[in-house]
Amino acid sequence: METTRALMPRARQDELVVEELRDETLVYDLERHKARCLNPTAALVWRHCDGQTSVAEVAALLEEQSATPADESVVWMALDRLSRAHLLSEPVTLPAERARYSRREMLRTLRRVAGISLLLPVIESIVSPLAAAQASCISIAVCGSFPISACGGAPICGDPGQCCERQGQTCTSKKC
Amino acid sequence: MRSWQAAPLSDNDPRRLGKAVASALAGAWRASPSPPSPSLTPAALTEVTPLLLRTGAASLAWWRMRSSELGTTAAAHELRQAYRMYTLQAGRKEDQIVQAITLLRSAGVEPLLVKGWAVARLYPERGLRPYGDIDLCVRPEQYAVAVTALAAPGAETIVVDLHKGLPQLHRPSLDKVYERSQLVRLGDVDVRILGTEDHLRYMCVHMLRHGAYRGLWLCDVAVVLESLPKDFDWAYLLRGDRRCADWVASSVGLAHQLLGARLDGIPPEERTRSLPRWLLPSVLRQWSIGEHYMDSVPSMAYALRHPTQLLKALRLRWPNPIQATVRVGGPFNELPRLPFQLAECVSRTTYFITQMPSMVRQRSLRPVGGWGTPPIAKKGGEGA
Repeated sequence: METTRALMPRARQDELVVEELRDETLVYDLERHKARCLNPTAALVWRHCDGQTSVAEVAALLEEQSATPADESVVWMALDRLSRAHLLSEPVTLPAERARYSRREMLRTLRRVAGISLLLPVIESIVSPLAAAQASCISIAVCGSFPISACGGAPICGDPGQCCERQGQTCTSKKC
Repeated sequence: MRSWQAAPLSDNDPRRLGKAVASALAGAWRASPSPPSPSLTPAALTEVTPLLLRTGAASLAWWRMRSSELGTTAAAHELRQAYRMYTLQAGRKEDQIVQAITLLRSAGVEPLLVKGWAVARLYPERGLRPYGDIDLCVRPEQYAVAVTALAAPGAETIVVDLHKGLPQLHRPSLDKVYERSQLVRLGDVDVRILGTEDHLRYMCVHMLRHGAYRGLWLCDVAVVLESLPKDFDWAYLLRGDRRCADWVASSVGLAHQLLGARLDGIPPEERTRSLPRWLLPSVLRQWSIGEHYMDSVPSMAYALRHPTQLLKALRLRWPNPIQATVRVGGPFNELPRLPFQLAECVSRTTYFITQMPSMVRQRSLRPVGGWGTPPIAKKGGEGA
């Protein structure tokens, strides 16, 4: 197993709502109004993004908890995905030898270990427009009263296809 | 009681999808619901998924499907996405409830939380029962103070549906309602909610006033029925206005017959009460449509500006028999419902016409509660 002394980056703390479920972790980004679902591998890596633990330690922990051989490639792949999802305090920079890895190469490495499907870090976007429309339609007046940081994209009651979105320095009804 | 499952429905029957919705939701409020019946096929689930999503019942349907073969279907994935979204929303809503109650208490107002979190807390997980706004009831004389308190800086995004008392409860005294209320812990505050009898009564009447169009509301009735305290007072629940008592008892019967709610501890005379023949088919027909004017369908103001939507807007405003009967204060008996539907329609049209000038002034701001609903003061928008 390849090991490095690289330390884990720090996870982003601000403007996130986190819900831990039995088999997944849900994260809502209050800045970008994006909801994401982390599978156990991605969640474990994210939980250890403390700037102190090493990548090798997390790989070992992953192996221990999943009872499946794991190597650092899995952790780096998870970090890459967490970074793209804006869940780290700073964008992660893969070490030189990892940066050369294409996704295919990464997968080739991963296939060397058993239980690949269980170990792959997955970060899924949560999209459910109909459910969102049901949950919280608001009037234009309410939308207009929101501060711009909280426009939120909620559907406008009685105006199909219109949502509360930012326009300049105000929240207003715009096409969803 | 008659069993609605006994009669198979043809493909053209307008109640067919409603029956599939009922199959998806039966027992879904339990911690470990039984798997859905084989009659709910993957194709049927695909067909009813938009209905479940539109009416806030997607989470519950996912909860029921998750351990069955249907749990791996594309439709179940859509339901699961809604479950995840509602779970995330629930945490934020709870924070907002705490914030709203703290603001009101600091202004000397003691609010009563109804529906929403008050019933969501009875489900096995908080994301199973979504709610849009926060329904708070205050004493009428404190209403103005409450509105001011909720307009405080930082509270702009809390969507509160503020009620002046609880007239829908058909109780003679709000003091009595407060006296029977209970305090339940949420985070750092004690939230005052209705006593179980008043809460069940309120939910039943609310559901019927809106034509029982959301399967979720009948699940609420079912979850309360299966969480009744030992000292639950059936006589108090059904006390007072006879017609209102009949509505409540019929809602209990509906939850049992349609969704399989257990009636342990219910007086024998209530268990054997038969429902009017039109009631159950009306619910199934409404659940098959999955749209209602209370939801995000074209408002009349919008439809008047977009004439192509006018027909749809009018069609959705024809009251179903349940809604019509309860809104005009009619009895649940075997007489035809058409007179009640006509009366309710006339009443709402009259109200709409009287409200038209202010609607035009406010452009697409929907009249509170939709076309013709008796006004309920709102700080925010609509919700479950």
